[in-house]
Amino acid sequence: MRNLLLPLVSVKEYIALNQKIYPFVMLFGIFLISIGWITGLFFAPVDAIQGHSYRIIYIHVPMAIFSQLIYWFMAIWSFSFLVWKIKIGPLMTISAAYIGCMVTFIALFSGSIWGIPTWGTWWQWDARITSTFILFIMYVALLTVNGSFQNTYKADQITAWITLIGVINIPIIKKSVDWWSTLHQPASISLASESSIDLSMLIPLVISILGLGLFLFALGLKVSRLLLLKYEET
Amino acid sequence: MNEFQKLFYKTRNWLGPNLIFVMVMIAFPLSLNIYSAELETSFESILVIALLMIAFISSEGIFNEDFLDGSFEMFISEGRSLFQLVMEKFCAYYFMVSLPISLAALAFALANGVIKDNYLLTASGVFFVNTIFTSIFAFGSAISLNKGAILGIISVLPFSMPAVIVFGRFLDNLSVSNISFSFLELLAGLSIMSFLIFAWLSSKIIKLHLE
Repeated sequence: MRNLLLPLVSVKEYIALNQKIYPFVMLFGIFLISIGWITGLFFAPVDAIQGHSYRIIYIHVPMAIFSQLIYWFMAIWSFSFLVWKIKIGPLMTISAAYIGCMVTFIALFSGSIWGIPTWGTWWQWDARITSTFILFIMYVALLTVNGSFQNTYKADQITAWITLIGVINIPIIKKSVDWWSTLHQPASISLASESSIDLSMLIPLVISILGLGLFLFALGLKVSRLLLLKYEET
Repeated sequence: MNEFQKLFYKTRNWLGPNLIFVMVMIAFPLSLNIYSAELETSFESILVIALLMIAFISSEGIFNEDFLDGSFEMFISEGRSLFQLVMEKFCAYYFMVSLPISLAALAFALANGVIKDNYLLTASGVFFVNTIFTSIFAFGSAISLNKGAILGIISVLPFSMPAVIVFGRFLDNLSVSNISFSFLELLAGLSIMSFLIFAWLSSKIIKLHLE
């Protein structure tokens, strides 16, 4: 068990593991995304109401899911850093923040593109969209705070605390479509209940989500390695 | 000298935010037709923005002076609790800034015809939401000690959104006492939680700055 957890605690072990798994995770991620997007964009049936415009779900939904999941990931690493002083905690948090920021931006942007044909507007101050926009601001704020301190230890501690408090926004985003009457539709896929999407549309979506997950994980490995190099230089 | 006295003698820190709040609330009807129904409908939004603005103006320098003149270091070296000191500071700000502002907000709500009754409920709601904002921005101020206020505001502004949401619901339901009272209880709970959590976190961050 100790050997299994060692890469998560020791920087040296982490780099070795990172280099070993990065190419496989990246390639498999790209492979799955390609399958998901090609089948979703070209072979999935046309939606009876929305026509072809619904196909943006293969980009928007995975991005929106990971914009929130990445924040949970950051919160777990921040917690582990503050409580157990796990050295790579801040590194993982910041690497994930860069990716989370990008993913949240794409989720907002693709949502806006989808909004024009379906809602007739590219932006609406609706609870789901606004809370996601706040999440985007939080990612930017975390990166700004982390980059504002010369003392790395101080920067890491402050970033970890802010990340942990920011978790409050994630259930708000998740539940916003249930708590308020929003223009944004409620969740169509859920682990607890049956999906309201037809299987022929759902399968490519699930593959896209898995593929994007692996791709982002690989991206995280790359970013964390680059950050480690930067730390070594400074 | 306790924190209340210290704040009382620093007039700029407590009178300034109160005056700015009054100025903003006076300026807002002037920008509209004063007989317009828009006065009532836009009052809530202006109030929330004014409260947010006052909270970060008032808490901007809450720790600066003590940090720069070495009071915090002396305090720690004497073996006293920084958490307690921060809590005292928060209480002083609640008393000298949040309380007068909640009374002023009540007066403006009456003047603009937004409320007809529920005076105590309105003033309490404004007081609680202002204490939440003050706690949050004071934490931001602790983060950005010697880095300028902007950094602190950017990093903590998103945390004020749940309070804004609850406060909005509270104001929307002001005419229905039962529902409004439930939201007031929620605001009170959030206020107590944010007081304790952000006071503790601020003391941790200040200690970190001193290390």
